[in-house]
Amino acid sequence: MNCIKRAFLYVTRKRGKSILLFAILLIMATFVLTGLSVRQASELAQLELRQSLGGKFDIYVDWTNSPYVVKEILTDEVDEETGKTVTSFLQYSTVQFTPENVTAIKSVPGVKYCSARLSDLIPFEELSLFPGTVPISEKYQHRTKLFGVCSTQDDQLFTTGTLTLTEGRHIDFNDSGCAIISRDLAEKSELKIGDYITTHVYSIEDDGYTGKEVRVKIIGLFEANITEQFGETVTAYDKIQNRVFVDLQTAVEIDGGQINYGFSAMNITIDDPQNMERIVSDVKALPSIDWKAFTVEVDNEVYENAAAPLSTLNELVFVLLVVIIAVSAIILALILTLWTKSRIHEIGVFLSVGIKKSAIIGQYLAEVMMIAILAFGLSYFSSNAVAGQIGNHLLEQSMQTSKGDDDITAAAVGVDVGADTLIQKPLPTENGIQVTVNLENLLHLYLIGTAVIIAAVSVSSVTVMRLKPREILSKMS
Amino acid sequence: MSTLELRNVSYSYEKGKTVLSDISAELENGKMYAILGPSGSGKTTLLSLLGGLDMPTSGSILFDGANITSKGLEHHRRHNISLIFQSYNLIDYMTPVENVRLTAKLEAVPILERLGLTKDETLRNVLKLSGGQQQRVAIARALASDAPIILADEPTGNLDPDTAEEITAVLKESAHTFGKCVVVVTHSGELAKQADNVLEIKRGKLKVKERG
Repeated sequence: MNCIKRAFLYVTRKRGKSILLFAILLIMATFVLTGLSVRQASELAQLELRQSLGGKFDIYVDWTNSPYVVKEILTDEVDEETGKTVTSFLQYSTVQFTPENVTAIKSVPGVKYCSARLSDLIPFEELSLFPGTVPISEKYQHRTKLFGVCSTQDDQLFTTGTLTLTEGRHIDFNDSGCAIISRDLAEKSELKIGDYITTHVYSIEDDGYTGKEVRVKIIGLFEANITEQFGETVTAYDKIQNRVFVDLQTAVEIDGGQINYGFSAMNITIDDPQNMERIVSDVKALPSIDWKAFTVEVDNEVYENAAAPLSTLNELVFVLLVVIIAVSAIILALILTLWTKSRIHEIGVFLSVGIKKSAIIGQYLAEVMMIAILAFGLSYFSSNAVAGQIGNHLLEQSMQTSKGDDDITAAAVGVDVGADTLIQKPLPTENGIQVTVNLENLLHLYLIGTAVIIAAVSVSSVTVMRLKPREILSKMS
Repeated sequence: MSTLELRNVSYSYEKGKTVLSDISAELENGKMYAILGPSGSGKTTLLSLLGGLDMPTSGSILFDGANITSKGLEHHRRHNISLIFQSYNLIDYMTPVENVRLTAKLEAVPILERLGLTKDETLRNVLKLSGGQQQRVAIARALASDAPIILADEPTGNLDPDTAEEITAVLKESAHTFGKCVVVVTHSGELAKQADNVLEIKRGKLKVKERG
């Protein structure tokens, strides 16, 4: 009779012990499986969070240290009231980002979007602007904010979903003389796709847009997905409905083309904040960019704040798993040791009939494994019942204990560019994490469980198996 | 035709007390041997040495001319020896048939039936059998293993006189009909009378009394 057959007889005939062992293994397996599934869910949530938030960093002209920064004094006037001299000056960098630089940065692996703008306040003849809630001087009353971009698809207002192109097409790298305006503004100004809007080149002499006429064609209409709050203070030119996007060439032309030919700042969004260091390093290694002119500022705070509870949860679950596995192994070893000692008579009989010690240990292992296979299988259902609740309870605990546990949502929403508030997608963890037990967890449980059982059976068998057959038989008598 | 041979065997406990001192004997197939001696004289120790449950301090035990340690004591226990104990030593979660099948080389049920167990009794839990029936199961296990040597330690010690007589007859039959070498440790004079040879241990020495 082999050890499997003997094990089967023992398990089926000694039902009390089998049921007790089954209950112990079921509880242990439920804890381990819950831990495994919560850990997996936490890792998945971290991944989703990283993909959802992305990482961002800015590259901008180093106004303090760049050798290319020029400061031109425009006027020296004496203030009549204070008697002090007030100096007006123009500061700019002779080295700016070109569309080629934008393309090079976009080609770095991991870079998702590269948002760069040349912005100014420009009057357009055909536009009937929406009024703001803040009074502004006469000079700016008919002006609106113009963004000169290489590609509106890469602009943060579009990538975040704050604006959506609802008609026409985006502005792209090769475009010239193209504009995108809001549907509301188009309707108010009785304009449509294909129509032209007119402005003039900036004149330094007049300090206004009185130069050569510039006409741009409307190629797309957008709609804003954010609504102004009641009582919100906003100038007419900052109203999102009044925003005008044009291609970079047109923006440079309108600007006069004497100082600005590109961008002095760029906002880069990456796929995975975990790769921030590598991507920044790759970007800094681009030979086409003169890094004496620019500096990089990494902003991973949003991700780090949002990921902190999950990271804490992960560590917590890992520690819990180790403790659960260790305690399970110890409890199992103690119980089996007690049971093995109570089976000394049986061991003596087996040895006296020539059954090897290894075959006896094999039988004990087979007995526990038979029960474990059933218990581990059933723990799939018990774990599924409790894993979600335990996971989210632990997540709440983690949120309370993690650093910077201010409102994570608020931190995420607070990302803005200039005066525009960007829509932030809800974080994957805002409604808790989705914990489900899957077959992969179950497979891990079987592997861990088998290792624990082998260790426990080995430890429990040591005391008896060290004895000689005659010592066991004399203990029997 | 020597089956089992003790050659200058001595055995001492770790504390130094000598139990067996330079004993030699030859045990043959087809005979029943009774080992007699006062309590603590070393009867069970001698049986343990013959059964490969322990090793002599000096000397050697040979089976068919070869030292029993040459193939390992487990091999000796599994293939050459069957042990029968006073307390039967059956596995309590098995039926008689399953107990016999633990090491069986022969069919279990015919042997059990031949030893007087009914078909129904062979399928019951062993703990539900009487002492005599349990000892029959133990003997059946020994016979079914088809080992040439049966070692029995006080096999009738827990049995009433009638059952003890029946068990003695079975052991005798095992030697004379089945050609086994049966070695019985006993205090029972009745059982000793049935043996072909008596081995008496006194002060560590072995005295062999052969009967006509």
